[in-house]
Amino acid sequence: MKPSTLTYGVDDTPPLPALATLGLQQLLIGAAGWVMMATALAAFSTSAGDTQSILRMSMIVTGLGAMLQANRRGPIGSGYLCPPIVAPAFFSTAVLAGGGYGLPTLFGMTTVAGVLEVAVARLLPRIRALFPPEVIGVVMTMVGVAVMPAGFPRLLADPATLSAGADQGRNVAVGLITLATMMGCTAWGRGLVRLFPLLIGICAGVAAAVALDCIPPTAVQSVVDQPWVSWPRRAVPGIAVEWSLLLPFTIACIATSLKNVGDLTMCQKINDSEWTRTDMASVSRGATSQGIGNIVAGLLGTVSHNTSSSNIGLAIASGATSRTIAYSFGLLMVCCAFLPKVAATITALPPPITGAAVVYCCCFMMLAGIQLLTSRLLDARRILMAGCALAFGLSGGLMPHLYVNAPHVLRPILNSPVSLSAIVALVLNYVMQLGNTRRTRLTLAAGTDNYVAIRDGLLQFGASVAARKETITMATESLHHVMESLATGLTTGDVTVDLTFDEYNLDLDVSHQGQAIELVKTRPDRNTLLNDPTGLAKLTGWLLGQRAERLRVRTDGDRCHLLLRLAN
Amino acid sequence: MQRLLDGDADSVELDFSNIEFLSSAGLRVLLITANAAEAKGGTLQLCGASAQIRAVILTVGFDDIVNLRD
Repeated sequence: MKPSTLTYGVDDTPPLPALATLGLQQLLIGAAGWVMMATALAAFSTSAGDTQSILRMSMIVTGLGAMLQANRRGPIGSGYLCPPIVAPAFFSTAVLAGGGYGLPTLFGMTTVAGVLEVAVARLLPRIRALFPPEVIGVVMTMVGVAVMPAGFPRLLADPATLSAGADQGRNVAVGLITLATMMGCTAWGRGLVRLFPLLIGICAGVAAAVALDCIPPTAVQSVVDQPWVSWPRRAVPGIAVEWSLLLPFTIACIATSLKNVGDLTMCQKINDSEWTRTDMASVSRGATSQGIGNIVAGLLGTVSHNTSSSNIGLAIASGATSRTIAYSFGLLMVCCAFLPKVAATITALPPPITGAAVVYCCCFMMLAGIQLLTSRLLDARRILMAGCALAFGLSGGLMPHLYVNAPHVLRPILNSPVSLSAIVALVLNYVMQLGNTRRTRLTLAAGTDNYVAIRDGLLQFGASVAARKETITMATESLHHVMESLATGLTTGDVTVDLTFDEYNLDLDVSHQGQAIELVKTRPDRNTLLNDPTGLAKLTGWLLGQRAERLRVRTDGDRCHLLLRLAN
Repeated sequence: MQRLLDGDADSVELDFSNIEFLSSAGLRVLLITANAAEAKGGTLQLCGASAQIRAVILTVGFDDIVNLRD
């Protein structure tokens, strides 16, 4: 069901002007990614011309990838607005391949990584048990955290991000004005203002940058120097494969696949107010599309791409998640590849403005992950799993020197908060569940007030299996209704309740001696409730039927069993 | 509540802001009270009921005999 916070949900089609503007807004948030890619390419001394070529090919891959991702027919594409961006997880492997063996090897290994990603994507539905919501919640939270290093240094005008001689104080002011405008549009804006917070914020930021003289002449010159239209060319011809690089690229591929799961789950969650768990089949189709995008990236002569968390954050913030935006975004992005002046204008935006945009978007990502984590009941084992995974993920960001001497092959994982926390979460989730049972039995005395015993017993069991809070609340209420009805003379002995949980369902088998609760299909009328001694039990029988996925009564010797299945 | 309605009162207002759960027996008490109030031309009002309790009242169709208020 479409959440009320969305103006344009995944299946809605905005009017054409809004569609174009929303696509442009999505394009602008990618500017910080382009700058990061240029920085990474500079690490192995590519020429300015080669960097421009790789960047423009990346625009084509990004545009086509977004459109492929939005497709929901067939085995490719998740059907969501989830544009790709240059993958930071591949930066260190890109330096390894490009710096050590040249650009043809970098492109060849990018294609190989794409093939690997497709293979991992096809496996995802079979290994979905490895990704319970609490693990996904950790990954989603860290996806938001991982974006912060791309945003904060720019927002707060770290001298390394500014051109020589720039005034840091005035640049900080530009960043804060941009961020405040975006936040104000989201918090108090209505209609179009609420729909285009990023665009309005960037306009305010540019105005502030002009007023405070924060646009360096070199940035203006870099735009002036570009032609209006030109055909993008490959940086160097040919591709090559260096098999000694297979291991680091495989590890980077696993890292990006984990991020794909987090990002695509986020897309599912923000588009369905009744979302409960990851649809791994859709994630698999989305990850396949991402892998194919990277095969094309290598063939066209650019670096690996990955789902963009910032773009998803922007979709949440603006309340526009329509898949049709992916098509307008894709078309604009491909056009940009042929319009160097436009692309140069976007990359020349002052760093505090792009930084503010990234920080603004990552807020929504982090909180969505935390919301998913806290939607489940967590016992000590699961709290340890989630806490430890978050702590490891944050360790690299807070204390980067810790992993400086790690083997090069492991750096894609150790340098990525998302990958490190995801792997710790996956391992601990498996280890912590050793010896943990998904069954338990409660014994209750009929005819007494059992509410506290029922509530505490179910909460304890729910936390041990990480059930949804709503499921446990419903089970508590339903079981209490049953106990009250049994106390109307249907039984006098102990009542046993066997609980079984399997992520999708919570099963309750309530057994007792005596008379079974009558399951009625129509709601008892007022007269029955007031005057019939069995009225209360009939109301319970009817009420359970309204809530249960499955409900039946059977007898086994002298015991009656009420079998109740609640969806989790 | 019954004592109140046996006296001069013709309507009852219940503060549900601290109520965590409404059982079947509780529903029956509400029905009896609402019936008694209705017989005297009055009403039964619940204020501050949680979303969970509102959902139960709506599910069992008691929203036509009980006035739900914020």
